[in-house]
Amino acid sequence: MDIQDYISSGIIENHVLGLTSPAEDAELTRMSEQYPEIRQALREAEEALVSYGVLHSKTPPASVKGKILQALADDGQIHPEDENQTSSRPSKNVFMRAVAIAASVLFLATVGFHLIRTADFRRQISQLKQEKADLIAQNEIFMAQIQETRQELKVIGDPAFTTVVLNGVAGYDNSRALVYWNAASHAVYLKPIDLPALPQNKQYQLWGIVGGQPVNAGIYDPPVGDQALLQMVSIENAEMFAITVEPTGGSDQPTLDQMVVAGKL
Amino acid sequence: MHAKPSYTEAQLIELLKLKNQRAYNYLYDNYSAAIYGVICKVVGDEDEAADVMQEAFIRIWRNIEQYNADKGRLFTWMLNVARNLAIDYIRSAQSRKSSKTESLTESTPLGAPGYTDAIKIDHVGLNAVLDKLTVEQKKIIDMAYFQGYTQEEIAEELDMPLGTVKTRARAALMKLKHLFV
Repeated sequence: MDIQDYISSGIIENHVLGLTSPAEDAELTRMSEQYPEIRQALREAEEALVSYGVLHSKTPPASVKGKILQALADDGQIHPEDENQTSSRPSKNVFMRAVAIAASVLFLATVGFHLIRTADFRRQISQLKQEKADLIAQNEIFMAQIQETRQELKVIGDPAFTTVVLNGVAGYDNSRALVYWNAASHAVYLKPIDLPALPQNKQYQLWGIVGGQPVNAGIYDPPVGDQALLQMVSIENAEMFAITVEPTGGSDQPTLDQMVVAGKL
Repeated sequence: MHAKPSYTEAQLIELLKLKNQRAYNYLYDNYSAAIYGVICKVVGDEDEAADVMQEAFIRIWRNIEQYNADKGRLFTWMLNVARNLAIDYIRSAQSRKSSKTESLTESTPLGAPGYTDAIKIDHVGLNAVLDKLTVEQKKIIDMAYFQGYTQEEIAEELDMPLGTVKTRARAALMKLKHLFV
């Protein structure tokens, strides 16, 4: 049977109005247990009708409450001792004890429930904190990378910088580096590309050749991964740049047989 | 005096099943107006309505174990207990004296006189709802809900085919649903 057809058949509305047969009622009960949509439609129909009933609300005469409580007491259902009643209260203590026990049980159950919930929330909070810290760290890395890239773009895009391609010498045919040199400000930036890794006790050193003499332009460690632009020591009147492999800490004079790449302006 | 407690429906049901009198007081204080209003609407006479309400509360109290939260809200159940009791009451009273048709027309005036002391906000709400329902829709709802009429009885009373009663009852309730839910 199609659920929507069943819902729109009118059986639900007729049922809450008491207009259905016992067979139809039984069927609806079965259907509502089986299908949440039908249960939902049934609840809504009930709510609507109850709301309509409530519109007719009318305060009952004040005497009725006492009469009902008295009738219940006579019926043995309750003890006539509540504070809202004016009659004698012989078993107040018994009643209050029952209330206290019920309240305690309820309270303990609630406390237990909340303890479990709280532990759960704590776990969730610490997990979220960790995730937040990770995101912040990641964000810092991205920011730093953007900063570097921006710096690099600034140098590359600046017409005052001359690009010098340093090609690999014999034995380092695949190595290459780029130097950006500013003739006016003398600033030197290095972009190492495909330089081989070095042993622990060695470092790369950049030299500027000025008037035929090598001038130290700074040392740096072999690149790891995609290395950013490195700012090196400023050089005046450079004619050429070269990179040699030197002992860690650098040398005063280049070890010429350790030259890796070189390039003229 | 103790501060007025406020219970969720689940707490209230738990306490009622424990026969907790404070919960019972709470139940009365919060729901008696609605229950009384519905019983008055069915029974017509306020004194008789008060008697029926007494019966209704005793029945609610005694049968609270039978209430099943899976089958609907507590309030819906209580209102139905009270309404069915009131309908049984007028039905047996009617069979004792006159024909049902007569007392129906007496007890279901459209303007609902005798309800003037219901709280004002309810009047506003009632009038707003009545404005939205057609006379016929209201009549069908009232006959079914407040008088406990069967489809056949409504069909006879309003002189329309059974199928029409069914579709109009649905339309009337859809209107209520639209207004309230």
